[in-house]
Amino acid sequence: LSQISDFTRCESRSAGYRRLRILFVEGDVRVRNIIRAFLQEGYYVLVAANGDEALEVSRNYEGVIDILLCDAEMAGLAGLPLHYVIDAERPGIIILLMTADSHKSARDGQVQRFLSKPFQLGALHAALQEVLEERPRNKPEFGGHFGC
Amino acid sequence: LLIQNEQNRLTQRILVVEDDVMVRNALVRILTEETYEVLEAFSVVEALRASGQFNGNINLLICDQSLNTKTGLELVGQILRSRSGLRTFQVCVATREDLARQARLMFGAGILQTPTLLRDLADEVRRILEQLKTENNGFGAPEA
Repeated sequence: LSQISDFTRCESRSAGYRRLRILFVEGDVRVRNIIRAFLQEGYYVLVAANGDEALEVSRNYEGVIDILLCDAEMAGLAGLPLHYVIDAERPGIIILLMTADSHKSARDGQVQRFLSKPFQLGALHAALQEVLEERPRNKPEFGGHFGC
Repeated sequence: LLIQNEQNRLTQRILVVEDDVMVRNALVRILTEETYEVLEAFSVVEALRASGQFNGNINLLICDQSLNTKTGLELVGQILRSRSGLRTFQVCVATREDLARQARLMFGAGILQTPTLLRDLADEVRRILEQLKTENNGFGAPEA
C-alpha cells in the first residue's frame, strides 16, 4: 500500500498544468469500463465500483479530486447518498450525477448537474464541459480537456 | 518498427481483477499509460460478466491470487473455459515457492509478488504478451 500511496503522491505533486481528476463510480461493470475508457481520453480517472470503494478512494487519494461522477442512487455512509458524504469531506468538489429520475435530482441542492439515463457519451462530454466552464475562476490552472 | 510495435500493443487487451480499489486503480493506470486496452473488475462475478459480455479478444488476465469468493486460480479456470488462448498473471503476497507447493500457480503463468515496484508490472506484462505473440505468430488469432 505504501507504493500505491507513493504513486498517488507523485500524481499529486505534478505541478502546473494537470489533467482534471474525476472520481467515477458505477456499479455495472460493462458501463464502468466503457465510460472509464472514454473519460481517460481527457481526464485522470479514479474508478470505484460502489459507494464503499468510492469513499475508500476519496479518503486515500491525497490529491485534489475535481469531479465526482456517480449514480444518484449510489449509497454512501449510513444510507446517506454518496455525493452528500463526499461533498462534506471534499468541499468544492463538482458533483455530476447520473440519474434515471431527473426531476428528483433537480431538487437536490447538493447537485450541480445531472445526466439523465440513458445517455450518449457525447452528452457526458457536454455535461462535463458545462460544469467546468461554470467552476469558480480562482481555482488552479487545469488542462486535459478532450481534444486538448 | 517502433510504430508497428505501438500498433501491436494497442490491440492488446488486459482484464484486471482486483478487489482492492487502490491497487486496482494503480494497475489500470499503469497499464493504460502503457497503451494497453484495459478492462477492470472488482470481483469474480464481475470478471465473469465482463469476460462473458465482451466479444473481442482478451489477451491477458491479471488477477489477485486471493479474491473474496474464489482464488485467482479458480477464476482463471472458469474464464479459460470460454477463452482458452488467454494468458494469466497472478498478483499475490505469497512466494512463488509457496504457490507452487500449494499447486495454486498455473504452469507458465506470470507472477508479481507484492510488495514490489509497480513499474515492474509493465515489464512483466510486456514479457508475457511478447511471448504469447511469438507463439501465435502475431495477435489477432481467434480464440478457441
